[in-house]
Amino acid sequence: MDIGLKHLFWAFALFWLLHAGYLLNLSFRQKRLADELRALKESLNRKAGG
Amino acid sequence: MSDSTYHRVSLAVSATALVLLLYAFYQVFFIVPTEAKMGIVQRIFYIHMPSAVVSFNLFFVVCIASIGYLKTRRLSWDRAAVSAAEVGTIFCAAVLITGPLWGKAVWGIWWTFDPRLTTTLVLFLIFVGYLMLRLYQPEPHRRARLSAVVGIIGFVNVPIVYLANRFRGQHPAPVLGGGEGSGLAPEMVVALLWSLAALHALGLLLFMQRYRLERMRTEVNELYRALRA
Repeated sequence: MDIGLKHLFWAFALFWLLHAGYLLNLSFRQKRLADELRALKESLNRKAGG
Repeated sequence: MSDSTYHRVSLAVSATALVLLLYAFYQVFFIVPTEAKMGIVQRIFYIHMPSAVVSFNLFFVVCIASIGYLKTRRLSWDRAAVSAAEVGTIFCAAVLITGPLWGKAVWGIWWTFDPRLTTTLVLFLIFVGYLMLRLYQPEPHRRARLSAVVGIIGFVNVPIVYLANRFRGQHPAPVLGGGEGSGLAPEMVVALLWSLAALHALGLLLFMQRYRLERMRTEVNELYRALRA
């Protein structure tokens, strides 16, 4: 493969991997915090109820 | 902003970013003529240069939000600053990845310590340091104060990076507003503007998601405090 085409491919592939990976990472972190929030609210409600 | 409004805005920004990205890539791969000297690899320019512009703008947001925090001591400014810093660092990493790939194909080398390349690497490392510093400061206001100072100092490097290729070095002179001999073909300018718009929309989307994460973290910490009380 021509070196220009190979480098163009890798530049776009890595660019997208980096951004898509970061977006996925953000959504995983948001999901984890949402679960933690739900659990904390339940504990707080139990504490208030009990 | 309420949760439902946030979701509507977030959806609109995601859809805009997707449409703009698809159209920008159509421009880059199907409309733009191949550059005469560098050939097909010059198309890296349409993600390399806009990524740099987006990261500079995000670091500007870090600077403004840091000043905002230092003036008001409100943590919402700190949340905006850290969100912009993290997304800006991602875009700066994209610049540092695509640049050497382009450089190796055109100059025959991956890296050289030319003023533009070196100052960009320093900018990236300053903001990696900014993010690391935050990990070691558990107290929110102390963390916000220290990182605001680093954020403002870090932004000072942005104009230095911008002006660095006016000095002699390997990196080419600016193609827009670079004086005599600079400039792009009209089709290239159009594709560049679409890429700039698309990557700014992507930057805004990532910033909004990162800001939401920071707000959720604040809420979790407040609930832990309420539970302990």
